[in-house]
Amino acid sequence: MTLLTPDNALIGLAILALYLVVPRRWSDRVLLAGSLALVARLTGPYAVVFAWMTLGTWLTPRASRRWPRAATAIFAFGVAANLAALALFKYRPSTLHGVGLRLLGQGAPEALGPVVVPLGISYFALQAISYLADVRRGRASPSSGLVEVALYLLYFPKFLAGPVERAGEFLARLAAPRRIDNERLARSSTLIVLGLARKFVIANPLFAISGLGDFQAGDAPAGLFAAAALAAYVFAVYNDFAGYTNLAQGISAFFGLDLSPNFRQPFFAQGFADFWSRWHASLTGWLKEYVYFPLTRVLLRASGGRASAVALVAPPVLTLLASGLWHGACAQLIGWGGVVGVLMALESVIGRAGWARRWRAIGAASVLRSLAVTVGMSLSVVLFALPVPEALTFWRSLVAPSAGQVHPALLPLLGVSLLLDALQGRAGDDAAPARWPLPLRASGLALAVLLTFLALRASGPRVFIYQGF
Amino acid sequence: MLDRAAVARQLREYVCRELLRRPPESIGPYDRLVSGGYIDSFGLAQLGLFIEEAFGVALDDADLARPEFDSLNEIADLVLQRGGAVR
Repeated sequence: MTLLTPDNALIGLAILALYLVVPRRWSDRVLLAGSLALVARLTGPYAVVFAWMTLGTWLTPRASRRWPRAATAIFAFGVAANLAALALFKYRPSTLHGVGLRLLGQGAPEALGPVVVPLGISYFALQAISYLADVRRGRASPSSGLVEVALYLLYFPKFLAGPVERAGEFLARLAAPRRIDNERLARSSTLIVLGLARKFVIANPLFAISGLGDFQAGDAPAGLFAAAALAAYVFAVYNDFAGYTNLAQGISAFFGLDLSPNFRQPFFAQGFADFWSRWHASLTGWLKEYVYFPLTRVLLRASGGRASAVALVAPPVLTLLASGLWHGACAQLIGWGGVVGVLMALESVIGRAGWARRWRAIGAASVLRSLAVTVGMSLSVVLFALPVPEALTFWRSLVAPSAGQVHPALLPLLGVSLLLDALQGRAGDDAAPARWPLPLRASGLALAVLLTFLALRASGPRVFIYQGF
Repeated sequence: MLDRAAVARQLREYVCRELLRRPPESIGPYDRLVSGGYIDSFGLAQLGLFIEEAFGVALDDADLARPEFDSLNEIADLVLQRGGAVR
């Protein structure tokens, strides 16, 4: 199930229409009811689980106020409960399925359907933990209403695949006046058009060109052909997720609510850590705030503030292992996290050498640095697409003699993706075309709509890759 | 009594001496330390510890992750807002 269906679009429009006509004091309730309806459509019976988890998360700070001497234990229990739900529903759904079968007895297989992971659970759990942590640290009110907290956790534009919002910031946005005017509508429309274009015009054709996800050992592309398949895959994943984010931001802006940025031209990054601050930035920010900084500060204090080897190496490796585990409890994704963590640790250690500082200061070498980072990250992404044995075979195939030919559409599609990045990066705003002169804006957006329509007819829809996490 | 310029000057001395190994005049009060690529997350954590010790203010992990925790002036403002004093 995906958000992008005609039925869901109609429901979204109905929610928007109702939202715009009801008095402001009712608008959040309308938005929550609409979000619940869409969550129920997207997750089926798991909507009940999300409702219970929302209620439990909302009740936790209230319980801590009722029993202040047990506050630490109550918050720890709330965090543990969300982590346990994530572990059970995401990593052991077959166990739950078995329990359901035993409870329901005969006819249960038909009643339960196939074993599935509830969509959105990974994003929900991170945000629920953020709410509990922010309340505990005084960054969010412990007396926020159920409607506000539920909306923070279940708001439909970000429910499936983020951005991962911080509770304190999102609840403050909910409480602030919402402005919906022509300028905002122009930004919303631009973000939606760009998001759809990134998805259907760039990402879907690149997935088809790459074929990396379907690669089997013994059926290996080699040399330049393998490198082309990998480049196509990396840019496809990027455009798919950046497109989804723009779409979610555009839809949300129609309701007067801004969502956090998630991508900032990652292929222009100057280092591995810089890459991750630009790719899925809302997740990276969450991991930094709740995993990396706490670990680093404890180790730094233990070493008297000095940059000890343990303090430099352990936090990035453990943080990226946690990121891999969040993406999925399988060897390839945990291995991917480990590889990226080691790359970042090496960068952190080597980056303190005098020659590395001088290298970073050479402005003319910025393209070389970006290229090196993109190549390093792309090699690690093989583990994102393939199980470990196939990934090893694929890496070996990259240095084998070339066989096959590069698809003629590959370079133009990569070029369009980088050009779009350059335009958005230069303006510091993903909706930059909304500020272009009218003739340029109209013709650019009309072209994007036309190409999206043609691409959709040619390849059909395909679910967003990150909703799978 | 600490003012913004005095806090920013102390921060600049620490950042240039300990983190960048450059002369103090190589960064200005409005330069973006993190997003501009001068210091990484580890350097940011070191800077956080220095601030806690030098000015006697408490910073939590969310402070370090804030996008506003970037230039010397922004960080100096946060230090003053938290009632920082020279130790």
